[in-house]
Amino acid sequence: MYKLDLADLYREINNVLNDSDIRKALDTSSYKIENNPIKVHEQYPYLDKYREEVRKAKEEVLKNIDYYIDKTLESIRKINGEAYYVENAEEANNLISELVGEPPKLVVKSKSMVSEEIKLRDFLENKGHKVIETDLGELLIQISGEKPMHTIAPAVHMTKERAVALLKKIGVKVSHASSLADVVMEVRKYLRDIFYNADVGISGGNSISADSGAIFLISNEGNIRNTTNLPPIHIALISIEKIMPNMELAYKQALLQAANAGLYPPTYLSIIAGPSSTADIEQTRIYGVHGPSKVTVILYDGGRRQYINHDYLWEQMLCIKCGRCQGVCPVWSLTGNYWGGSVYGGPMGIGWTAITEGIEKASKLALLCLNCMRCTQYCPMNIPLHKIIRELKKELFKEVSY
Amino acid sequence: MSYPLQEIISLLTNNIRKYGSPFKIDHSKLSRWAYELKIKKGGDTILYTGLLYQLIPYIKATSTWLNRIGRGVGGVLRITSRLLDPSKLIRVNRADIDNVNRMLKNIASSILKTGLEFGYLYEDEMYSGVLLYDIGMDELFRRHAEKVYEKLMEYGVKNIITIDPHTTYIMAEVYPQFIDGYNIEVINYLSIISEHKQGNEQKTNEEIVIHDPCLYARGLNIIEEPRLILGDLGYIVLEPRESREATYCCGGPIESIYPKLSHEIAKRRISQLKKYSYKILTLCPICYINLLGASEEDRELSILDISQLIG
Repeated sequence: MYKLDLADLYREINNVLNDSDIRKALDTSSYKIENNPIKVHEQYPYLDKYREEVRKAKEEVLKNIDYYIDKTLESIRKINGEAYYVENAEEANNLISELVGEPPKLVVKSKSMVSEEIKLRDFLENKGHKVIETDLGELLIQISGEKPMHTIAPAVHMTKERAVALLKKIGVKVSHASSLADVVMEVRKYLRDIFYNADVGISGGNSISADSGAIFLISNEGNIRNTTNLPPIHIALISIEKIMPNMELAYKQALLQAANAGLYPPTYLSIIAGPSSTADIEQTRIYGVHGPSKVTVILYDGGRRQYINHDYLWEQMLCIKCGRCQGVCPVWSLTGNYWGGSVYGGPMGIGWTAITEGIEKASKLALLCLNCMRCTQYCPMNIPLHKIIRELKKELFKEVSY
Repeated sequence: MSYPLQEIISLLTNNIRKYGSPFKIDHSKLSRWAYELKIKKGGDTILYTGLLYQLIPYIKATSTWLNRIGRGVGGVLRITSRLLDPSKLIRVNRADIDNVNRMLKNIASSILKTGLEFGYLYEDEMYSGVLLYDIGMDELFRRHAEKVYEKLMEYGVKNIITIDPHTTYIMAEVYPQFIDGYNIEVINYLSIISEHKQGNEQKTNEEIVIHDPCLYARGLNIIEEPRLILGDLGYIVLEPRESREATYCCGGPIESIYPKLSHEIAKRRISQLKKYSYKILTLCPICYINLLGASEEDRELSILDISQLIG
């Protein structure tokens, strides 16, 4: 039996329970995460059909993961992108560091949970690069040094007052008197020059299609367009479970994620298939017009492949990381991602923590689950999240002799 | 001090192993409610309480104590010494026991009214082992379940009428996965009594907000039954936004794992429900005790279990 040393976890959660600012913010956001997708699904009923199609496609990809990884890499190369498959954080960081080049470079990032998994920002900063998060929530997380509280909305737990205090630290011209609109405008001004001067843009990916190598990226702020379009080099870091068999299904997966995060239609959907180019003069193709001349896609394993045939963890990889289960969970609604591993929290986060950080860590977290089945009820991919969590609890007591 | 999670889990699970339920209690006391009704012992069809209602007074007494530990009150020495002797742990309130006995009598009477005949195992009735299943101690759970099944076989039981969501779920959905050849028909009493008029009670016309138990709503699809029963009694049932399949947990299942968090979840649930009515209806002893605990600060609230309205 693992020693049940949960003192640190309890201390962190007790702090959250006693912090009225965080409580208020989590309360509002969990209400929205639960209810906004209901309205979206009512208004766009075809989304319901996507659920089954996407789940089936993801099962197909997981069953034949090696085939789909190879096919995706090949497709990316066909459209003049660079393509790599890496197994772990060390490989990913070293490769990205090589692609970024000699320090110091200015790197802009859009939000990517996978980059949190490999602690990419720290790695590049330690190499001497300047790295700026461009998603507003993630920028706040970067300044505060915390971990993201929700997959889609990393700073859900922060109030405006807190955000202003953090932004002031990096020189954004805001004060307590600033309206929310002013705050956002000042962040825009602050990031504008950074976007123009950046040497490299790094993004994640909501989907990638194996048949074309195109990546799909959803954004509401518009920061992803700037990150992936303005710098001369674009690197996309995407975990292997985001691979979909074709363009159509990749598109559906991306839309479904947005819908279940309650953001629908998403303001921007970017499809990026290789570097920008023109052949307008003398029919000779030149790469790098207004967009990057070099696009590199890195497919990241990070522990996933070893669990693809696992009894129960395999099903976690059908997750589209919309974060719906978090907002509907009675525990998460009070704790945020403090009930979680270093990247993922809440019901889906327990399974993802098992995959990315080990079963021992996840199984201790699992003990706090109520087994109330609300997560499973709301999961758009019909993942039996409460069952995965109970299986993880079992791991705690496997070695007990009675 | 930090919360002694490992010790609490050991205490509760050791009690189940040694005494058959999470608390060291004299089981013969837990069937006293049935004497007056002269229910026969044993039979093909029996009422099976799984002892969960009877545990209410013990859970109540323990949770006060656990909450104090959670808040860091109470010396380490005293707590450790109590852990060594669990019988010292609990000071049970007589009124709570009377309350529970009335609940159980009401439940049994409401079934008797339908004309259905059933027996009861009295002191031989056992706890279902739900706590072991919930925390993932499957091997210990399997052994416990096998003992329960053996007892049922000993009495030649074929059908059991269960009265709470946890025991119902465990014995209908989980036991078949753990016991080879498990062949017991499980029916929840709400399904039985919802098909019969509850008699000639004065119709109340009172409003009451319903709190569906997670396991009834999402695990067993027992949703309409309580509404039919309440409607028959004349209650106007108010549906909160988090109702039916969307119902919200009372926090009860992690009461012993993390009392403070469990209590906060209960308070959150109360705040959802009281938007509709100050009269809150529960359908489960765990929900009842947990919501009751979270409503203490609000004297206007009344938490009623369905077992207090029927019979």
